[in-house]
Amino acid sequence: MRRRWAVGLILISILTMACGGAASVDEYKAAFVYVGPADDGGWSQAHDVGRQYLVEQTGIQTEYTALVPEDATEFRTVAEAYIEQGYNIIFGTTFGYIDAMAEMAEEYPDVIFLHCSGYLNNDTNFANYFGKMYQPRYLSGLAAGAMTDSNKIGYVAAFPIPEVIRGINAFAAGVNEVNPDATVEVVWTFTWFGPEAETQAANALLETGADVLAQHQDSAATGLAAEAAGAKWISYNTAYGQDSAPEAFVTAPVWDWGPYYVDIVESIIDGTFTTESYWGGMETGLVSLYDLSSDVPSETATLIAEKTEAIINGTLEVAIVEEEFISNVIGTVNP
Amino acid sequence: MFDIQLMGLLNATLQAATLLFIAALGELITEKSGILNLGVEGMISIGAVTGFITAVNTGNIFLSVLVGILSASLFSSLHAFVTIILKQDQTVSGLILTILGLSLSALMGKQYVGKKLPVKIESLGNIDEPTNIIEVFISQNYIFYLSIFLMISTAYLLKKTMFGRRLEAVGEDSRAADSMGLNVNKTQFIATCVGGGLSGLAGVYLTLSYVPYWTDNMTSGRGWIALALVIFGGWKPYRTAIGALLFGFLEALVPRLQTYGFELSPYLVKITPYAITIIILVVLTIYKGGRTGAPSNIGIPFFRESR
Repeated sequence: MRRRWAVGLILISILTMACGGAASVDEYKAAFVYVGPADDGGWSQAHDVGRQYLVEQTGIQTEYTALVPEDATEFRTVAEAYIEQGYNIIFGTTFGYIDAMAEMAEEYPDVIFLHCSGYLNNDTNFANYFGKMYQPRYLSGLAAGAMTDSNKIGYVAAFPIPEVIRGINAFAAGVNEVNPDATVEVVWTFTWFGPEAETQAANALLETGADVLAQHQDSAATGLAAEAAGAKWISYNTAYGQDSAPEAFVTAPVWDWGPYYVDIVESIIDGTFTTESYWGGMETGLVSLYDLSSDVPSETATLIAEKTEAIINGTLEVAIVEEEFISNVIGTVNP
Repeated sequence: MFDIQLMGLLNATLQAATLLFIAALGELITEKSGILNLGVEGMISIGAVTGFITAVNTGNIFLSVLVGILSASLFSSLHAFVTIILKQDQTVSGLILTILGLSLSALMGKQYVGKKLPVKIESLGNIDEPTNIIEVFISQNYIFYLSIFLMISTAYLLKKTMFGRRLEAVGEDSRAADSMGLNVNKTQFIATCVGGGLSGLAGVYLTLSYVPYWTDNMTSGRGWIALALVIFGGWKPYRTAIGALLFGFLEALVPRLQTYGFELSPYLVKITPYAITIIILVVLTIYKGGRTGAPSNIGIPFFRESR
């Protein structure tokens, strides 16, 4: 008797879902998987701020797991636990989850997988998204070029992959535009979040006479090293770095994932979701340059404002160079 | 062409060497008593995380260092209990200590990843950019000087005092030492806990000064280099210190090679300490018949009743 009731209830609920038209937000639960701590002051925190914005705007139920290594098994364990609890949208926010997400998308066709910074997708439930971070990096290069006295700028670089290389080149192009005498020296750390390797690399660059440092990693270690040495620092990801190293902080190319997360989740709810690769530029607000510190010369600030305007209205295209370094960069793309 | 900043390199060498040396010295004392503790990596992590947590919460640097030392020492007593009281395999227990220490420290430090440290271990002179060797030495922190003191006093203790003699007797021939009326278990237990405490000191040096930060796997293999260092140093404090300087130099070199303009893989440099240790072992085997200086009883549990 009881079983019949249950079957009846399920049938009724399926019928109401089918006839009900647009689904409601209550039918979706979104899980976020981060590679670093949710309050790392960097990459993962930027995603977590986006997640909180998503909750505020849509009321969707979300949960996150932080510090999940870039390892297929680790990601799978976390994601499967969420799927068991009824989560049907999974955000993987680091490149290294790519293979696990591609596999799981085939295994769980009812769950939507959204992968940040990857290049794989399928036709139904697996999409990727990223932002044109090289645009604000170019702008931060303008500031760095103007701020250096020694004409030596250090770049603490993460991994030699296209995303990082095009960021360095865009930055160096900005430096070159305001200061053709300055060079950008690159040291690879092979970490996304490795305070120790980043401290070492930053110190190595400071010892060569660099007085402005830029970085691609998610910890503020480079900023702490710059602060201790009295150098300047272009942070990355979020502006939270300015608390760690207030004297050194100049500006930061930053992410604002919130609006994108709202758009994509709303498209899933109203059924207009597609698995296209999304690559948002400054015109979308996904990427931008954070407010400049007061020690940036006013003519540089004006120049940056003009270039920002030009990038947003499409009259200025920042070049994408990923195969080799441009001429004012010292270092190798194959360390 | 090559632009080498010698003072920066020297400073980084001393910092890296201090950490390696303190941990290796602790392991040396433990091994002298005949106990092999492969858990150095885990013990450093425990010292590093407990010291960091204490510093963030209390802002008291002395207390933080003390907590780091004591908790790592307490942690190593686990190894002492398993191998000395229960007479279990030292290799297995040591490896478990490494794995347990790394995971436990990750768990304990979860809320503290990326937190800013309110205090730092002070240095003698506050010099931002040392320009000569003396300034580099002055700009080191107190633990650096403590490690020099520890080196001299350990060398003295081992060679000139009754305690050193007893330790060596236990490590060389525990049965004979027992017949002479020495308390083998007690000596080994103390040596293991002292070794753990020194690993803890290396840990707080890491998170409270060298890299003022906490994240999982901060130790990144330093415990293993310290173990190799004991072999390199032939179980002698001064030779271990020389080895620490060499290995510390290699560590300081890794990120700097790129700025010097050398096209040498950082991976190659990273394996060098291990490669050197293997070469030394091979050389000693060929020329000295394998007499590396290791205590004869190392790794062998002492059963009083068995004959």
